Amino acid sequence: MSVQQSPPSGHRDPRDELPEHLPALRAFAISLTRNVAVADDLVQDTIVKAWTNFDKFTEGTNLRAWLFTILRNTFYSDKRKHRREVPDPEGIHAASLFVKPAHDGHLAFTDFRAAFDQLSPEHREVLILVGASGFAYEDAAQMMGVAVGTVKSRANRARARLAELLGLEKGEEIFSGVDGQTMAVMSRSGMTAA
Amino acid sequence: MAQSTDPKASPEVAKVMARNKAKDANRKALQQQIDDNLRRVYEEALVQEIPDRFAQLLHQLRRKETDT
Repeated sequence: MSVQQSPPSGHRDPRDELPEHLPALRAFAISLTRNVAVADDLVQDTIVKAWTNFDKFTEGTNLRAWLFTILRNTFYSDKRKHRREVPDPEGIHAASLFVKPAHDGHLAFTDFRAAFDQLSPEHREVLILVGASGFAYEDAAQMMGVAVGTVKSRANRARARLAELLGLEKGEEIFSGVDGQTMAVMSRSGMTAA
Repeated sequence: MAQSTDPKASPEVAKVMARNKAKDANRKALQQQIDDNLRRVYEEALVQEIPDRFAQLLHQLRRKETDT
């Protein structure tokens, strides 16, 4: 205990805070990879990288966003390095013979998940960041290293693609007919996760 | 109900407006469903138990730090 240097009052040492973010970090990794084993390796690499770079973390800023950024950057750089290998032991992405669900106006969760698995990692990423894990568009833009407008248009395209995969009639039309501005107004009025 | 002479209130326009309104409502409902399902996909991963290897890894990292 004597070795531990305590940070200036107010902020906790990010090393102590890290374990609290593990469930979210792992959920994000699973969302990106759709494979628990691959996700766990990715989380491991992220923890090691974060640990050796904590001196670059600005205390008092969003640690979760910082960790998510390391994770997604690691994911994409691994993907570039191993472009030719397509690890798919569980055959998640091999399930390409996707059967369109009977549509009764309500999305069945299993159908939804199957469609989600078929999205590109980029589409899964943006939907999870802004749709599910509750980050603001601005945070997501910073994590993804793109403009806020790009996040919004990518999210729209991802939603349209989901609707298409789900066999919803005129899935494209449902979202692509909406211009960015309308979309922004819709999201401000509470259409997306807080 | 043709009390108004306002051309905006003509039955055709009213029909189009009603159709647009219905389309908007559909779109909103679909978006809501997609967002609800996205949250469920994420929650599903979030509630899983964290494997021990991460606690061990953090322990190792801490030990390495105090050693050096």
